[in-house]
Amino acid sequence: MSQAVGINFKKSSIDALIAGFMALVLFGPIVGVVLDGYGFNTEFVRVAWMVAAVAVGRFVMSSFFQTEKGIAMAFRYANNDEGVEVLKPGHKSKMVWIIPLVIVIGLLVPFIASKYVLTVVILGLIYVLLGLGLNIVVGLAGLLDLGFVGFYAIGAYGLALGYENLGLGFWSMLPIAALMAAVAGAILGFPVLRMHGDYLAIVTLGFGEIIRLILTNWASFTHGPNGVSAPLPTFFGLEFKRRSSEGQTFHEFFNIPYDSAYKYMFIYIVLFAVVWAVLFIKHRLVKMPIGRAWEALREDEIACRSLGLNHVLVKLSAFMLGASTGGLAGVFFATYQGFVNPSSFTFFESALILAIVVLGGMGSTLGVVIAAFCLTVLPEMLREFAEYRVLMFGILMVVMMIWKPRGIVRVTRTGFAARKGVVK
Amino acid sequence: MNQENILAVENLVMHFGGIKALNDVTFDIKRGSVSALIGPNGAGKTTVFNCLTGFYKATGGKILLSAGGKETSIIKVLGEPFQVTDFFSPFAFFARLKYKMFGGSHLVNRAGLSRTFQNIRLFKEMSVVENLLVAQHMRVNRSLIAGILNTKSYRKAEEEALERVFYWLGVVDLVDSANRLAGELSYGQQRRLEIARAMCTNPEIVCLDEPAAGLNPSETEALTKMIRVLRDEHNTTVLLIEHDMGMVMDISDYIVVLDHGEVIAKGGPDDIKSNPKVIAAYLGAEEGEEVTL
Amino acid sequence: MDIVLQQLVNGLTLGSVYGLIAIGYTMVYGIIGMINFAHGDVYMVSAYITAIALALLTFFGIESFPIILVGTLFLTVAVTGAYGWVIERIAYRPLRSSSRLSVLISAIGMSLILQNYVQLSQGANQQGVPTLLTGALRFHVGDGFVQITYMKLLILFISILGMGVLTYVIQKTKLGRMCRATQQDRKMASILGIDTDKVISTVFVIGAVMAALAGVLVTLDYGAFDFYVGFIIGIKAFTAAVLGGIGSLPGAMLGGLILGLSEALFAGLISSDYKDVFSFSLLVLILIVRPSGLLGKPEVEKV
Repeated sequence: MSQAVGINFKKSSIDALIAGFMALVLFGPIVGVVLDGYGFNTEFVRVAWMVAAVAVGRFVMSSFFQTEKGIAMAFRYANNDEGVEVLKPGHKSKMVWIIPLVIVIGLLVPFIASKYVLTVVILGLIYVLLGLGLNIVVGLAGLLDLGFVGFYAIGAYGLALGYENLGLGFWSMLPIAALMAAVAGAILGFPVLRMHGDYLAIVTLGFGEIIRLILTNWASFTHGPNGVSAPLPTFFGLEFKRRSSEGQTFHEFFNIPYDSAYKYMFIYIVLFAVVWAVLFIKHRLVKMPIGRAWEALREDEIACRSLGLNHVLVKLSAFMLGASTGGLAGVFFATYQGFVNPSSFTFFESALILAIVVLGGMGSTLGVVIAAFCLTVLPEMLREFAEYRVLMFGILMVVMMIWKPRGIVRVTRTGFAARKGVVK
Repeated sequence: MNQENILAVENLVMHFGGIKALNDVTFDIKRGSVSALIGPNGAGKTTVFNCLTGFYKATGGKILLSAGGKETSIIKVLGEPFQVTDFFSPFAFFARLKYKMFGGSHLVNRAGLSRTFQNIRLFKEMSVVENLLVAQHMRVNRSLIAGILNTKSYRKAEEEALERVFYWLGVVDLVDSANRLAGELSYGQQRRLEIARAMCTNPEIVCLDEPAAGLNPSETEALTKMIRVLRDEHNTTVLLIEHDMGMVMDISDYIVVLDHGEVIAKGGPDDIKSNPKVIAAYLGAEEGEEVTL
Repeated sequence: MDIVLQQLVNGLTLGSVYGLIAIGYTMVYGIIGMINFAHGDVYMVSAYITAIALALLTFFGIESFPIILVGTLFLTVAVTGAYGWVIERIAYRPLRSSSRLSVLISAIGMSLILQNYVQLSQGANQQGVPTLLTGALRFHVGDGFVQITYMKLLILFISILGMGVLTYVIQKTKLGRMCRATQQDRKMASILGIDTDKVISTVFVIGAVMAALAGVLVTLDYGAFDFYVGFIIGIKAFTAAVLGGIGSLPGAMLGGLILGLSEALFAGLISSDYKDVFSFSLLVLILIVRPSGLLGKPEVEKV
């Protein structure tokens, strides 16, 4: 660096002034004047704090980027090409040791954790499923699906309405719901996926909202905003209720006192197994031709077409698999809550799932699992910040995209040992 | 089925809005030949390529590809608009509907024609090996169940695919870079990888869009050898667009010259060199176009 | 008959509002090829600013309707424009060279931020403004009558005025020429000395200003709003933009009108519960049949 590095405080101050003025224009009316009927209350102190925070922040930032360290950082950011790494052939992942450990701990959880902790962990696992499903669509295939909650709703309502109208229980609805969600994904995806670009995002956004509107308005079938109750899973035909109208219940059969925690333990164990199955399938998929095709499509659609890949069908397969995972998660959600209503399936839910994928790193399985737990379990622990949740997700998305678009966990690719080349 | 010509282009017309990019282009490409499409900038070479490879739907004319034991009409597989007669014949209707729903440029590749791009289009964040594996998508075991359970037949198919990958990496001299990201390769390596990728789809004819652009003389030399290998050892027909006249004249069996969307000359290198129309077209061409005929 | 006519009148005003908001989508798409996901929320913010401006003006004792209207319009347009600028600055500019997916996600993040920020500072409850302009024109048609409120006339007048001014700016002024040049070829425009970053910012501000006009008008007419109103109306305005041909300014207006009219007819004649479902299905249908819209140019893929 030939120039002398020194902080030009005048420039920083001007930057800070401009930022402060903008903050005043932005925050002044919305934060400072709180509507109350046709009148208003003023909150000027809050505005002053926010404006001051922005101005000071801008001043510090402006000064920092004039220091040697700051310039170096800006330079690093501009030349940021960390990210994907190809592993050496025959690379042994540390996961070989970690996975059995996690499974053992996971299996112990229902027996040591309190009922409350168990319900929180179940919720976390449901979001792991959702995150994995959306990760196939967004992370691997590069398709932005903002209506993922629609498939989630199809699964949840599938269980509730399937039980009410057809008498289908948890176990039969589990595969059917996955199938239904996949079919819905195909119907929605087929016309839209042939268009490139952002249309998919907005169409899926609309789709999620439409599903919710139908659930709310079609009262004769879905009971509208009142919702529907959903059945619990059964253990080889044994129910987890206190009393059963037909046959024995779980605690009667094993001759143990009734405890409402049993059903959560059972849901947990089934869910735990399903999550591992999905993790395994996902792990295989990325190494299979279809997984490679998804990623190739994300990288360059035109090149894919020139190689004989039917881009619509390849995208559709990602879309359907993602949707069916969402459907599965919906079934678990319904049985876990025992009840579903449309308010569980708003756009914020889609946004939360997207935040999980974004934070976890597009395409990284481990990252998604960690992120799903962070984003669902942490807010449960920090109840007093619950209302800031969505704000945090929003900030998280913007910051992650600017700072680390690949997410917290580095994506790795398999290496292949050299072989003797043969053409057949 | 025409045994002699692998590709027949008849009266090809392409309009973009009011602009006539191609005006009645007709030529044939002989099986097993190395042919070149040349012409000054803006002559419509890349447009012809994009029509041949199915990325543009030609406004008029015919493109017939005789490969894989059958004749494919490239315009038809892209999905044509419905005609009145279709509504009286269910068979024709469904055939057209099928191509409208599932048709597209990927069918051109499956019919036996593959291509490279002028501005290289690799899967930059995937490894070199994976780039070539994707190209074999239609040849490997795509069954989801077999893949998830990792069955024997799946493993065998993957192993074969990897062997083919390393064969082609050997041909284009990239074995050492097998486990690097495609985006990290040098320009010349990327060009070679793209050719290997096109070859991995097992085409009968490969269309190379300016393969020597940006290469230094020794790399161009190596490329020339490689193209001969494709023709002589793999019986692949090669069609290329190229500005490097030295290379074109050296390698081509047959040359088609385009200017202003029309074919102004076709023939062997010697005919083209002495063709007055061609010389006129090139000397009248834009500045900076280096011509050594 | 009178129902149809009444719904046509309603549809016309609704459509002009959609058109105003669609301009924001279409211009931003034209210039950077991206959907501005936070645009619906810009509209939502403008609804709040409208109510705040009204409350402030009333507080200071201003009662004449024209002054209130002009004051509210001025304040709302100014503040909402600033929001448009800041959105571009935070969620788009740092990502100019990133992948499309990243930009989309950051824009969605921005939309969430705006919604939650308004909810946190203004509360989650529905808010309202008093009715200021009453009265209507009535026409007898057959047995019934068709009613056009003065407010609806005002909506039509201001929308047409706003679109007219915008068309003039884009077609005749230097700023408009810079916008059009940047839309055609951003790189070339910047080589010719146009500060394309500034042009893009300007386009975001123009979009926000148009959404602010719509926000003032709808809020004054409809009265009630909450922090979630931007969502559905955003999707619909986007539908209007796609219907007219995204990237095309007259297309956005035309698309808005067609969508507004058909939606009003659907709501009046078939079912008002499912009118959102109808608009959305229309969007999917257009994308299948004519993705380039009515006035848009078909996209030629660059190979």
